[in-house]
Amino acid sequence: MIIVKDLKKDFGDLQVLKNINCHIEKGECVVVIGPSGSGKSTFLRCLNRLEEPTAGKIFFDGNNIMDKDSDINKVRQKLSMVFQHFNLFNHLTVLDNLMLAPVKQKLMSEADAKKKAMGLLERVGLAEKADNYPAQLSGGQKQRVAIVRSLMMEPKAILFDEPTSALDPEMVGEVLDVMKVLAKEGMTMVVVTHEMGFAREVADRVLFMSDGYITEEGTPEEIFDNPQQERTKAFLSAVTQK
Amino acid sequence: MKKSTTRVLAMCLACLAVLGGMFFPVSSPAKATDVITVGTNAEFPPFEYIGNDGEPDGFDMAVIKAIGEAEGFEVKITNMEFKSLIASLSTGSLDAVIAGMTVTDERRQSVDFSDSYYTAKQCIVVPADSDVTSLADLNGKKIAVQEGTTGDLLCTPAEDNEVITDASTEVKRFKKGTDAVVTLNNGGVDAVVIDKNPAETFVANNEGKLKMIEDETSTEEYAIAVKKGDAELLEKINSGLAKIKEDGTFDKLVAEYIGGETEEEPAEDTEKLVVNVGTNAEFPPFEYMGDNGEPDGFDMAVIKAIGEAEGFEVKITNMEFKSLIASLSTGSLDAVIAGMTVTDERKQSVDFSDSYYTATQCIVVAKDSDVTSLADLNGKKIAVQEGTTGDLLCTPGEDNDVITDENTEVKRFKKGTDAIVSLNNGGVDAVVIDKNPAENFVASNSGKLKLMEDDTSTEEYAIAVKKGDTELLEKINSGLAKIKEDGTFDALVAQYIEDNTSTEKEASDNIVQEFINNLKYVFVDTNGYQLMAKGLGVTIGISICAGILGIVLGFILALMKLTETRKKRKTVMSRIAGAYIDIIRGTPSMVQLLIMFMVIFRSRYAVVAAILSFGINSGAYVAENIRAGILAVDVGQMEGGRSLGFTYGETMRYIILPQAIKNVIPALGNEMITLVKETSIVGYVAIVDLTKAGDFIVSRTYQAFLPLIAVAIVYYILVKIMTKILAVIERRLRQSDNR
Repeated sequence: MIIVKDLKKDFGDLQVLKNINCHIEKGECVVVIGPSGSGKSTFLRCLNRLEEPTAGKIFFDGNNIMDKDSDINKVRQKLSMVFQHFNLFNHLTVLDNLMLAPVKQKLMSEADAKKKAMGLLERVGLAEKADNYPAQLSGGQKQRVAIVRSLMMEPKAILFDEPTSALDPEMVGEVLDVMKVLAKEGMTMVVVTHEMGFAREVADRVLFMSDGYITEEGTPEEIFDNPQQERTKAFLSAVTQK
Repeated sequence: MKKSTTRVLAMCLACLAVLGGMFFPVSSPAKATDVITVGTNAEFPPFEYIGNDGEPDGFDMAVIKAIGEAEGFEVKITNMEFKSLIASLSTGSLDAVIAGMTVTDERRQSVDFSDSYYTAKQCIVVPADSDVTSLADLNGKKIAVQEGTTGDLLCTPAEDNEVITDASTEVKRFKKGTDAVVTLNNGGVDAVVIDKNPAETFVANNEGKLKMIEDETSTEEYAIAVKKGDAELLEKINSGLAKIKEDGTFDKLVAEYIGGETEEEPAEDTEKLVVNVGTNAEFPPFEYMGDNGEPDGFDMAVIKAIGEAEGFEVKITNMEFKSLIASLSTGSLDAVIAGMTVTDERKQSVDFSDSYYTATQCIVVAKDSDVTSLADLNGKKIAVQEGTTGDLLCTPGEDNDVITDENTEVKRFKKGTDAIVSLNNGGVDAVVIDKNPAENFVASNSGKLKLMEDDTSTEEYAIAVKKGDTELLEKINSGLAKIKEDGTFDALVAQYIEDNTSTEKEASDNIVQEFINNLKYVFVDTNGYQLMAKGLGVTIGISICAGILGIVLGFILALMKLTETRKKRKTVMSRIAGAYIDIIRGTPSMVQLLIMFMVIFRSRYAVVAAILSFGINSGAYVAENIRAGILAVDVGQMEGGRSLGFTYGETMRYIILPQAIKNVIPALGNEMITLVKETSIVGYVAIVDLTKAGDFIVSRTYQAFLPLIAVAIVYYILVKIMTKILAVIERRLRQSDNR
């Protein structure tokens, strides 16, 4: 579904992504871990070109999205993103947040969009919040709405950029639960996170990044129980000590 | 969508560019063989001055055009600083210069001169009581000259200057000859050295105060200058000059522009039905600003009645009293009716019609003053209206038998009303002014002032025309006789001069009743409320139009400037917007308004000029407000929108701008409030807005307190209403912030 070839990203003189190659299969849930500053988020944001890669190729559904002819806006409709800080539209109610993109982009009628939105809100337990503004929701509720907003586009894959890092600890669970359900239903997901428990339980594959490279990858069992690289071992021991 | 946003911006830019092109036409250097560009400096009457149509006029202009006609080339006149003329010849931006320019050896090194077309003498203009008799007497004194002229050369101490040898001689160089004379009048210099013809005009305009001495040593030849080596054009000019001298055209022009005894009847167009009449609308009830902002009053009614009787149309021009006679001589006015007294001095410069009114000068003093006659004013402080008979009566001078004390201080005001205000404030002891305005002043300051007639100074008011213009004079006299005969004149006297009672306020002992009466007098009896209502309409109209223009411009500029934030580098658009904002914010709005009105609109369409000027000004501030409002929206909002497949433009429209408005509204509201108050300067371009209306009421009622406070209150209410509306809008927009 997503194939990354020789992806590089510089910020001025700083090389953040040095050479990234990976395949993400349809229906796979891939979790990206690694120390801060290793380029995890940059990697994720390059996948939908929210960050413009310096070099390399990214194939989504068989098309090179780095190609000049490819319409990145069309790609993003099917490659949604969930942000650390939710990025809900503050001036719109929950329902309008959900309906804005599908309706304005003429992907579905207003009635269909509303029906779909209410259905999805029901599933994440927020139906009664439909007419509230984002400012009236808790962090966990906001993130669940943000996930629903990405689902409204009926995406082929969703990118999660540290979806629980900005949440109070007691709200992390409710968001992870929604993500677990999605994974079980077979949604293609790429998740950057520090939640090792989630990675171990849900991930089909774990990528370990450090210094701009993917230095190790494997099943959760391989990475967590039997890491090969010194860098990976050091990181995991630091994280699990907490 | 992204492309179309760019396209919209590009179209807006194109529109601006087209507009700019209209206002600043690029001077095409197309030098067809039959068009020559002639430079002049229209500050040297009667050789060159700015005519009625705003274009340079005068003897020189007529001469060069006649030469052009004789030789078959077209003349394009460019008006510039005298100093720049020769330089412009050398750079080739001018083909020839005709500017009363004297042939000198120094100038011959830079340009070639045609045959001389006029011989002039330098003159020394000094106060009437000065003991200067020759140029040599000016050694060590302060002399004013027009920069770069022969006078300048004559007076500046230098190696080859045999007359002025004292190195301490101070020469003040003015751009305009008139400024030099003003400085002389103010005592800033001891003498002005200038060519004879303008000198005569200046002395004529400053009756009795100035005299003029001819300097025989400095006879000068005026010639037309061309670029050094341009023999072809020089030959053409000399040949043309010879032709027009031969066929009499030249003499006619001398007669028409420079005058002298040989002056023939000007070849007036018999179909010319419009007579340009000058006045100074500061002398009620003879002339004042009417409700519609046009000069009104007895004199206006009389001249219009005469025009009707004689079948000519009257066009009124309002100007300073001092400039009226000068404008007659230069020909920019055909006649003057301005409560002007017939005096021998004025008779030297103009011809007077039969008198249409007999007036007596009056002394206005505080009620408790012991002044009883003009002689009592010796050594006191007297206020007069500049250039009027009162001014002459009170100013100590050789031929003044009444006021002989040199310590008498005469304060000259532009407006009679200002003189009265000064009297009320104790700044002067008396005001000397014509009887009719005096009566009005005393009536509107009931109980505080009294008035005494000075029987020695009975005056005749008459209409002045250009000296020698007998045709117009006859028409006016005949018209005056007609309207006196058919009763029109008496009706006008009754209407304008005798019927003062209607605007007189009732006196009362009760202080509250007095206040109410006063209120009624200021706002109702004299139609003050109508003026203010009209002014308020103008203020609101200009504010709304300018506000809309400002917001539209500001929005476009903000988006242009934001391309920089998006691309993370300066773009052409951001540079243009940045320069615009920089220039507009860096210059006073007053100056922008004057430039827009006087330079770009050539003193026409004042309201349009004001709207454009304020709109453009406001746009710069609005742009920064909107840009700041957009930048204040969290970047995550843009990422959120883009991640859902919206383009940059769509994200702006659906997500960023709706949130930015909330940030912008308070600042935008402030800007609009500022705009409303800033429009109060439009009075400077002769628009009667709320402020100017208040000013008019002051000059009509001679009261400042009530009208100005009323104006302030109306502005305050206007701003208060805007503040309330803003608060409602803000509350609505804050809906999504509720927790």
